[in-house]
Amino acid sequence: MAKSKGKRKRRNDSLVLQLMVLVAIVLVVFEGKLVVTMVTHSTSTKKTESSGSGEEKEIAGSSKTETQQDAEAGNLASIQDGARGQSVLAGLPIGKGTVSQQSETDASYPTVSNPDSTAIVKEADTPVDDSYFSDAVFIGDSRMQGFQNASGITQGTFFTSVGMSLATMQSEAVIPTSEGNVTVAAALSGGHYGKVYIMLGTNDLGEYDWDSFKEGFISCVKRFQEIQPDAIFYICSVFYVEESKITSGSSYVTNANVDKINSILLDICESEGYHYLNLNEILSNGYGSLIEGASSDGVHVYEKYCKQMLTYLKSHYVIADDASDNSGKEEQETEPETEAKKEETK
Amino acid sequence: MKKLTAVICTAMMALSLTACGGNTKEVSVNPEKLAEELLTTVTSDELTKSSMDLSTVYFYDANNVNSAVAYASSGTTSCEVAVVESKDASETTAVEKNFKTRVENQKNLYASYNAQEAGRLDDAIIKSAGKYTVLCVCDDTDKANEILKENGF
Repeated sequence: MAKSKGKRKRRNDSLVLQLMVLVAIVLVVFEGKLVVTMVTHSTSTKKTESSGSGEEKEIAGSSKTETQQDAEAGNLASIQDGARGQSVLAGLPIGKGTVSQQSETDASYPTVSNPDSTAIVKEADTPVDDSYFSDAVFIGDSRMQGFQNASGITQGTFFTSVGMSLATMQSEAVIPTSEGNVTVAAALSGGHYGKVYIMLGTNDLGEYDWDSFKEGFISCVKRFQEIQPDAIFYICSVFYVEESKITSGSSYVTNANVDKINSILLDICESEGYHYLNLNEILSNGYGSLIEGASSDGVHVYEKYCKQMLTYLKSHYVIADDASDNSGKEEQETEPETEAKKEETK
Repeated sequence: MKKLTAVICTAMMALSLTACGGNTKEVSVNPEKLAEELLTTVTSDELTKSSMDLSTVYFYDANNVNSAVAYASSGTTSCEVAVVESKDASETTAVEKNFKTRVENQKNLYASYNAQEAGRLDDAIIKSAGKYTVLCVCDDTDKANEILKENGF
């Protein structure tokens, strides 16, 4: 009797033990990942690089105090140009209310050094639509990136980078692609484009060796031309800044320097056969400065003005035969599909 | 006593099976509406809804995505909001990777251009739930996380 009781007891103990082992196995199999995550995911407020796997991945930061919108205008930091060791920048105070060169009562401040230049793209009779940009590539700095984000453009390829300067455009791998970051030239090599738009110079306003800038710009764009020999090259002017909103950085970002760099860009277009897009036609306040209120930080314009830039590009274009007249290249005549043509076919 | 222990063990097993969750839980959001809600966490800039093909911005595989919406800056700040709905929850890992790459690239560029914006990118929120992946670079990360939690993230 005692023996059978003992046997029963041992059997029951073994059954309980087996059940507990089974529970443990089930927990490890179904909840093991969660347990590992709980152990390895030390804080929920780490940086963006995740360290472990888990069913819910979270990369969040600590809370920040809100910044006033006007304060943003004062937070542009100097850019250190590694190649030249200078501070270059995209926003700066020159002194409130200062207007470079012209009288405030003179509202006909010229926005180009040579208004009669044949390199300046004139307004076309009929604007094109977005399809014109389907084979276009847009290269440039944060202002070009802002145009991409806020203009409403639906076509085109963008190779842009915050802080892009001539040095960056020439040789730094700053253009993201699906295969990683590459240089502008490498990115250009990946496609065939009919139009190349370049918006550059705001981050080079501290470049006092203007001859060197001119030489470097020509050399760089020639290289792009070799990669894209069939493309029409448009060089966008550097548009003005709103000096009263620029409160930090070096003393280089002035509308006087904007005028200087634009005169160089126009010279380049005249000598090399590129087409100059004078964006200050629509963004100038008439006194050699950016329209008041067009920007929160004095440099990057609001959505409304990005849309105006797109409208400007649609009404300022060249057709291939005009492009070849300017550049000396022979191309077949092709007309962009204008909105008027679309109406005719309806 | 032994029977009681066995019953308890069985109950624990059954309960542990019902606790499975995380990315496989049912989450259903309207990407447009969620993005608009997250926009309220950006107070230092006015973001614009992107009209571009977002697969060319974030480099996700468009074949694996149902829909995507993004709001970005005209250049003043590094703030942005993006919501991607993948075709399957298993694709969200790849989208998260794309978002992380995007944030890293922007951080490296802003590091020498605008230190404050580089710091903002350190606090970027990248989260997935169900088929949805969110990227939020904003002013109020607490509020953003609250919004995401309310939406099942």
